[in-house]
Amino acid sequence: MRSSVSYILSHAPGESVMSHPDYAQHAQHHACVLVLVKGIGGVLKNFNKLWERIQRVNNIKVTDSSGQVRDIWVRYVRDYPVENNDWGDFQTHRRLLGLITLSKFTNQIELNEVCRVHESLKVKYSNTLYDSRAFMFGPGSNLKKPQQEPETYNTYDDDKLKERTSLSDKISLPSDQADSLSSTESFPRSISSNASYSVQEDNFTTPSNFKTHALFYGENDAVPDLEQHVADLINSLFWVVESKRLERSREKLEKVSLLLAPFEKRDFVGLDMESRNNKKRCMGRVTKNLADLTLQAGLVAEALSLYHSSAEILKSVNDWLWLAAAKEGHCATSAILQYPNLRNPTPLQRNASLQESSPSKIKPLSLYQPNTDPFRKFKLHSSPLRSSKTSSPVNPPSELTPSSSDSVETSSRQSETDNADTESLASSSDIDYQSQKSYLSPDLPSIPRQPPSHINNQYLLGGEEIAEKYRKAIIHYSKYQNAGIIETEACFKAARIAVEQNNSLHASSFLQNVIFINLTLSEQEKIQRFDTLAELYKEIGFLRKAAFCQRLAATRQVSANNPNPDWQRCYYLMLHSFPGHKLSLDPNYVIQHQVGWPALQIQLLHELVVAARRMGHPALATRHMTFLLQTMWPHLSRQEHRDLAIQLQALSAQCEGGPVPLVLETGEVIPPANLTHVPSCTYFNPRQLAPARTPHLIKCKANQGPFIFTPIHFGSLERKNKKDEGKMEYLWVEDDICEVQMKLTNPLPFELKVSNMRLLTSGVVFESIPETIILPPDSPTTVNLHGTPKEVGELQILGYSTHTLGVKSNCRLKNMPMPHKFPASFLIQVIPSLPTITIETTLSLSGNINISNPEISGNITNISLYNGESTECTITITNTSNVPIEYLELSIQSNMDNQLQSKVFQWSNEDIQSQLPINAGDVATIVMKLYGEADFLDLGGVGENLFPNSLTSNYPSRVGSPIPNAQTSLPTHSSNPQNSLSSGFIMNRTSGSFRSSNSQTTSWSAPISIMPPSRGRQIETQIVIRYSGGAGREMHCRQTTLQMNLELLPSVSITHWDVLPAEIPSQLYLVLDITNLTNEEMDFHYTPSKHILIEGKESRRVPVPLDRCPFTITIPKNEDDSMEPKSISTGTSTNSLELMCSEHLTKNVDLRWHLLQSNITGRASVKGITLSQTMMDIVRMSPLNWEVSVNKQCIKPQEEYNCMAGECLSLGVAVWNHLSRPLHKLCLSVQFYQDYNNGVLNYKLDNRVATAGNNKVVLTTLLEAAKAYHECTVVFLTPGEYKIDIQCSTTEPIIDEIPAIKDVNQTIVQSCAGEVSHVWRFIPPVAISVTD
Amino acid sequence: MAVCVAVIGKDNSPLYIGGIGNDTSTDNELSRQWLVHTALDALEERLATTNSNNATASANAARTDLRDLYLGLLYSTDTHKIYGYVTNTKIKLVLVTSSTSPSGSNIRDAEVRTALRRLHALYADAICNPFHLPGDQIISQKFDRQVKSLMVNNV
Amino acid sequence: MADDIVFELLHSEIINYALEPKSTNGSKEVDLSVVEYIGFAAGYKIMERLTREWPRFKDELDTMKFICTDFWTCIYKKQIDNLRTNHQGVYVLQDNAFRFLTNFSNGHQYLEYAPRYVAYTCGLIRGGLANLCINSIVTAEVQSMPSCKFHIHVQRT
Repeated sequence: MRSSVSYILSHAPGESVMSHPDYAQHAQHHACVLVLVKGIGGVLKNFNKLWERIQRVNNIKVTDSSGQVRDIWVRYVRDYPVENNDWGDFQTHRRLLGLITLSKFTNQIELNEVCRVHESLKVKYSNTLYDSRAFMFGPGSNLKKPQQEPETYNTYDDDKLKERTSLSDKISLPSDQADSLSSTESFPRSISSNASYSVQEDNFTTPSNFKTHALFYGENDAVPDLEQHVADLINSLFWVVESKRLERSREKLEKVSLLLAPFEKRDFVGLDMESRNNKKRCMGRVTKNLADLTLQAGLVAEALSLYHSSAEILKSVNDWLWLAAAKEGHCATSAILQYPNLRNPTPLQRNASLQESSPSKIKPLSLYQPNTDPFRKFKLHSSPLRSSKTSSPVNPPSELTPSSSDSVETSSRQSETDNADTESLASSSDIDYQSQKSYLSPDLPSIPRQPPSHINNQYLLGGEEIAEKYRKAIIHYSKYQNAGIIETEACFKAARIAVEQNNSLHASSFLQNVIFINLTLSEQEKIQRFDTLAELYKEIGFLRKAAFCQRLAATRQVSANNPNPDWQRCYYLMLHSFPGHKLSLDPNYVIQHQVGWPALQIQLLHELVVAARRMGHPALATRHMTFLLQTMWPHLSRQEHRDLAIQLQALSAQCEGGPVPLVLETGEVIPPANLTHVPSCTYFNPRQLAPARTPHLIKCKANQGPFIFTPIHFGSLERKNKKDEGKMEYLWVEDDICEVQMKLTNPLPFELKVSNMRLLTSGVVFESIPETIILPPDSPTTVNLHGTPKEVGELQILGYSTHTLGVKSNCRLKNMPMPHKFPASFLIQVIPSLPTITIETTLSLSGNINISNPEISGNITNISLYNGESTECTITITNTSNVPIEYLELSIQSNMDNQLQSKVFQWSNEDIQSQLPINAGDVATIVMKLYGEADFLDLGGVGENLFPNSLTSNYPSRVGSPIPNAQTSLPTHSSNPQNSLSSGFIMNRTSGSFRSSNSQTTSWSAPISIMPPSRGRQIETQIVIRYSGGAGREMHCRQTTLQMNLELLPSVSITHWDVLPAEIPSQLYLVLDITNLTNEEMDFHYTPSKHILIEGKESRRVPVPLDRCPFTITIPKNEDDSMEPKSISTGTSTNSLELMCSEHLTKNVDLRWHLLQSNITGRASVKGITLSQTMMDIVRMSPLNWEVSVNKQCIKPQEEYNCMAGECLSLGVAVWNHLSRPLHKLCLSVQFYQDYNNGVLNYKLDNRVATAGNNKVVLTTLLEAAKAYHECTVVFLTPGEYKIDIQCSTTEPIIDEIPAIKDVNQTIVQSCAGEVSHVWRFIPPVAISVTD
Repeated sequence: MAVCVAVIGKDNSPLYIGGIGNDTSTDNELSRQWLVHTALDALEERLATTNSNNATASANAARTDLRDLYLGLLYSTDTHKIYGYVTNTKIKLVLVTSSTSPSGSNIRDAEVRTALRRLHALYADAICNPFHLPGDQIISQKFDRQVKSLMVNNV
Repeated sequence: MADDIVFELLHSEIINYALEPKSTNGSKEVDLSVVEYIGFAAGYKIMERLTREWPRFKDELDTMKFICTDFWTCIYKKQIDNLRTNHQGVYVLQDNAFRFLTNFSNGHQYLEYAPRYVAYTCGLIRGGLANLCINSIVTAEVQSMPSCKFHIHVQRT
């Protein structure tokens, strides 16, 4: 909106160019009386309070001589350049009319000084100043007013009078309240306080040249009548203005002088004032001036028309400058009428002040009607009650002043006065609260409450018109370079009106224009200009522009040509331009919604960092740099990343950043910025505890389910079903090191040191162990963070904290750059702490100690044992935790089957339980017996080389083998070939096991074995130790496995065995071939008394005397299945029988061996030995008992009987049935034969022996325990050696089934069921030698 | 002559900013961005008023040119003039001329209008590039070249 | 009119292509969503061109009119025959001879297949409006063959 024409009268700026723009000016200030408020002398501590109170007195009502109420507005300024006064003619509201000084003094000298300053101020503004007040705050409180003759104003004396009166009670008022104060105050000066009084009384006197209305207070007085006095001042000022207005209006328009703007003076030199043009010019200008005064004097409506007419006149003479002024005035006036609430900009503030219940604040204001007699005033003044009454009728509804604002004023004053009363009655503030409400409500909306139509004034401008006129005015101004400041101010005023109209575009255009006005301004003024611009742009919502201006202002603050750069203000300006750049202080917000222009944001942040640093707040600098790096990461190039990182390091070197919000002096809070990009985390997951430490459920608790003891745990299970993200299914243990694994990548091109990494957790107390790592550039590194939960319950892992580039960051998972990657947090159940143990195993003899910490699950103990050897392994458990172990159980897993396992490993659970509980640091020992369980019966490879020895042995050929070649010596049961064969055959058939068949058809040449114990065996076992304790023992336990590798070495083996009848029928010999499989000499005990030495790898044959196996021993219920598989039903019985016998042997045979060299002892057993039928006959007691007698004398076994040839012998044979049942069809036979001892038996003795009585009888039945006797006589015809073979056989096939348990014999019979019958012989056969 | 041309997306995010001229302290990439960025306020305000004016009866004679895509001069600084153009699809085209250079100072409104219309045409072609996703920055060099030539020759 | 027929043929081929792999599982919507998206993208991009010479739209209705006239003409060489609205953001555009339907049926013969041949257009409209900052849901209904109604529900946010 610049004028197209270049500057009119553009000469160099005149000496009196107004050089101090007043950006704060509003349009309504045109109507205001300008008053300067200055603090002089010593600093008043409550100056600001007073200043506020004064400001609140910005409008008073005065009833003028014509009885009309005037609305007088005041504008208070703290500082006003004199130069601006020069424009007072141009726009009267620029005149400084009033002066108020607030001063402090402690003694006469200071007082004089203060007075001097006040006077000098008066002089300074002398040509505009009308009246002044000096509020002086002395040391004491009870001051007499020093003598001074009041200055005299021509126009009104009632004013003075009033002042006096007010003054008189003013002094009386504070006198009796602050004695104590005074006394203390006066201490230094005088000895006694009342003395000091007297001293004080006449102490202070203002200098004679001090001709100001001064008011004295004690420094701490609550200046109750401040408002009142200010009101006085305003009042007096009004009257001056009014008078000026009147005289101006009475002037003859013909002979008015030309008013000039400061810079115009020389332009009009030598122009004849008489020219018609100039007359008009003068007229116009005067009219305009009059309009100003009228406006100030509160006659708004008149002002309108005056402005209008003046504008008309001035336009006709092309007096652009003044025309502009007129237009502006016109606009301002219209605006004042249109938008009354422009005038009371801070209604709320004023109301707020009311709530403070200090009576002094709420004195009745401006109730003086100057033209009423003092007496009345006095009374009125003393009684607020009446004052309120009088104040109520104030302001009759005038169609000129928009009622809204007025009603506000009056009602507010009304309420104030009311308060004045109620306060005294100590009624609290609720009343005035209501009263405020009453007048607050209509006050709020900012649109003109009165449509222009209601104000019936044809000159009143509408909203659009105002803008339009203002634009014109500004254009006119713009023609004058020297009016630049006026123009600028006009722009701002116009903009403010536009804001009021909610017309952003107009406002912006006005503001835009400001930039083009090139003024020679000080840096400070330029900055102020930008500030104001920014603020106004904000108001119209042009945030970006506002931000732009703020940034300009900021840069100005510290620009090179700024004499005193102010980084602090620069910083704040920058900071406040954030919203304009769509930036938020909260990094997460910025990251989430990427709005705004990155390039600009980055720039701004850079500058912000610099500012922060330069203003000496390194913490902020670091914070903002972190913010920049964090939020702008995606928009930065790799190089920039690097540079910024380095800068950040440099900054944080001065003050390192932490994740705590910073609070500025202004109370703004800068939230922490966390670096989640440096280093960037690509993987984050809590780890399960190490196997040895992982808690296991104790399932064995059948009686109480898990529900009772760990509801939480159960809950967690449920939640898992609900697919709760981040809920871990495994458990952590209180006081136990836990681990979180994460993958970090260093995006920076240099090595990055990240120190003090911890876990961020919530929920239970968690003690995190800091980590420090060095990350190489661009290579993902795996990092494990550790910590120990200190409580039971739910642990929530929120993220991790880092300390890198000198910045501490809390990187929460939910704020991670890619949130989808991680759950917001990880939930982990922490269970009560469990004990931990270390285990060491000691072996008794081969004392290899093996300490094992349970961390490594597979700690291995190696043990080697000889078969049959037994040793002890002590497992020492040390409780390394401070939780007592209250539950401990051992279990074994191995590659053996359970029976073998239970034989090899033996321990007593009671012993273990008895040692519980194991307190912290205590030690428990578990003794475990290890036994080299093995099968000693073997026919493996050693058979052959054994054979020659057998020949050289004492019993050459009798080593139990029923084969014919054995029949040389004693006749055996098996001397009947087919029989033995048959029986052998039977066994073969019934039990299809090699060994058994082997044993009864024993031939040296046929040793076949499947599993020889001659080779060592490896047994791998894990001993699982489950233990628990503390609160959680009901539910969880830990388990440790220790590996035990057991090697079983061969010791001895029994390669062959047989049984021989002993001399006494109740006994037998078990003949064993023992092979020493070790390499050492072995001392082999086969009976308690007898022992034999066996060389390494040698084998010996030992006879073991045994009792025969009695009949009725119940076979232990089904023994281990290592027996031969049963083929057929008959097999079972045989097995059971055989079993019985082998059991018998196993029980009674006690073999021990002792390795002499390596003093190892062990034992062996014939367990699982198998016997052939014939063997069993020997092993077992015979079912029939024989009693054989010759010639009535019974013969002993082994005894030789002699007789003569031809002699008649009677041979009696008696048979007892020992069985529990009768035998049938027994055939008892007696046979004679000769044994040639060469294996030939001669039965053909017909010509040598004659028998009387049959030698074969059949007993149909032989009842149990019955005895059968048969007798026959025999005569030997030729001498020689004879033998009698007495045998008894059953022929009947057995049908009826009899339980084998009792009846052994029967089983035999049964066993040889079928045609083949069973045979019992009398062994040894009776031998008779016949002589001649 | 045009100093800078900017294409700004629906959400006021910069889609393309092309500038020519020697990168001195006063006119460089960044300063251009400031210029354009601060222009957005006025731009949006214009749009808003456009719509509101249509609604309210207070729409005056300006009604017709309010419907024009070309918004004219948004604001001007002592060094630059910033012109705005908003397509029907709320894509904002901003053209900055330097008022210091002779050619730029006395530039006529019509010229700017045509230039912006051309730019619009270019943009319409550019987004038909299958490799361009709507809302992304325009990185097509062809577009860049065309815009640059436009700035040099046509304005 | 060769170029037009090319467009039609291409369109029908796209539909066949989109339907082909999914023909096993009978859900038409899934298949057509592809076609609809193709339409959306096309509409979004073409709108920039079409509105280039066009003055700023006064309001929504103005925009819809544009869709009915120029937009439709440029794509289908004809205008929408009837536009109705309830002024609450629902617009019904009726085309009595929808180009994709005209050339294979009038009557009920292929009625069941009609949805395939309007999906693309729905997307086209939606995309165009989206680029004009009007979020909407576009559905189509075909009662008697060559004529087709497009329902536009504007999503007020």
